[in-house]
Amino acid sequence: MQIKPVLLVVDMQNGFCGVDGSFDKFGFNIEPYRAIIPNLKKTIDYFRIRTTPIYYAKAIREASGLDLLDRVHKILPESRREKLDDMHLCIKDTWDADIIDEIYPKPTDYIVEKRRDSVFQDTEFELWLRSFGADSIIFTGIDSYICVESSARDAFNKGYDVIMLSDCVASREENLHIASLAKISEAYGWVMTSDELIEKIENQELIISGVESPPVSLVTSEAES
Amino acid sequence: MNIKPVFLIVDMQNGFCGVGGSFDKLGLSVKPYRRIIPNLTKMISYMRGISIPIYYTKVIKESAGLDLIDRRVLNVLPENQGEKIEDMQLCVKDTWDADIIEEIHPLPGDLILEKSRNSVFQDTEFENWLRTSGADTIIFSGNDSYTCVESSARDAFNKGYNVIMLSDCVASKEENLHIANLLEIAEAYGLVLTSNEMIEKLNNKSLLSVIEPPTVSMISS
Repeated sequence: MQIKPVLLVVDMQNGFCGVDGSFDKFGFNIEPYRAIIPNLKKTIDYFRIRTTPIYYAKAIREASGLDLLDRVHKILPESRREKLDDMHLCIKDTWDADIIDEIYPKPTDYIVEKRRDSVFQDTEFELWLRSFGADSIIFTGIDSYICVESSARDAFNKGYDVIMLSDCVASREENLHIASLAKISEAYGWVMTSDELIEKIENQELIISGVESPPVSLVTSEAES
Repeated sequence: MNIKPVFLIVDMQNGFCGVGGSFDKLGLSVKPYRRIIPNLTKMISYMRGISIPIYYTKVIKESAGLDLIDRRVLNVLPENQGEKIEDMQLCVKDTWDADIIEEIHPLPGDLILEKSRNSVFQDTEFENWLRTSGADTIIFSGNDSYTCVESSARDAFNKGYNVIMLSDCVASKEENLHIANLLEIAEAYGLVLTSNEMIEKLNNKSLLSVIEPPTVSMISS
């Protein structure tokens, strides 16, 4: 089987999983998020050299404090409301909103800023996919059952193949993390570890085609000039 | 709190939950789906009584056989999903199998949305309807909880609509994923209530502003 995937890294931002980021300062347990960093690093490196486009999603809010979640919704679960009211979480252009150092994007990677859970909602992501002729998305990042799962469901609805790497996604809610993986493998696509996916590719059970990376020359020439 | 809701009934079609429908004939248990019919009947007539717009969704396939959820679009499909699609003439457009079950069949003033994928928002006119009526909230019911209902609810949230899910009006063949779905909605997306709790909230008017259904007068004339 041959696919043309992109690798998507969802919301690995300082605010959620950085030491001294908003969640950490608030006393949330960020260990489940941080536990996947080594696997992510390995996976990103593996695909980057194969010219698979790497996408980082960033959830952002306006500096004025409030954002599209609380201005729009009258009905919000308590846990979300608290987070919005009590934290200046991932404010646009701050350190908190930036991707964690350990897997920081390279100039040739892509960053998609989003205001809602799904990476497809009001972003240019799908246009990118179409411009590459990509047909599959490899999902990684956090939080498994919120932003990652909503993005994966949208991907399926829009007709993209879904592959979720079980050791590269994480949630602070262990039972919902497990449920999320069960739902994806039951109804939407493949769930496997990063090693399993790499093995499938290495023994050519799964052929992945990369893309010509147009911004590379641009980036290099800028750096040179 | 003042909300303007619509009531959405997802995929209560003969093919999934009708006696003698595709799932039934294939030997899949339709009991979990059929168990919610009395609650749905009650809710639908209550919503009708207070003029809340009722939307039915139907998932359909072309009579040509295959459809948009098969290997024409997707290479990577879970085994059981691939099998289901290949082995059944499930919910083929304009057949009895694709129609809403008799017990809760739509009335002329109700709106029916045909969809080809899980989410009611994907490639349908649903959001346009919501906007024209000024609705800001969707009350979710139907099946299957963890696939079409959940994907629709997540899309609703992403698009900025309030989400209310009626726990005794949604159902799944997978009990554990049904429970997970309700937990996730309650944890991150909206309100999960029983139908009676919903009725109580609507009765004391603390949670409502009614949308005038524009189609009614047209139909009576």
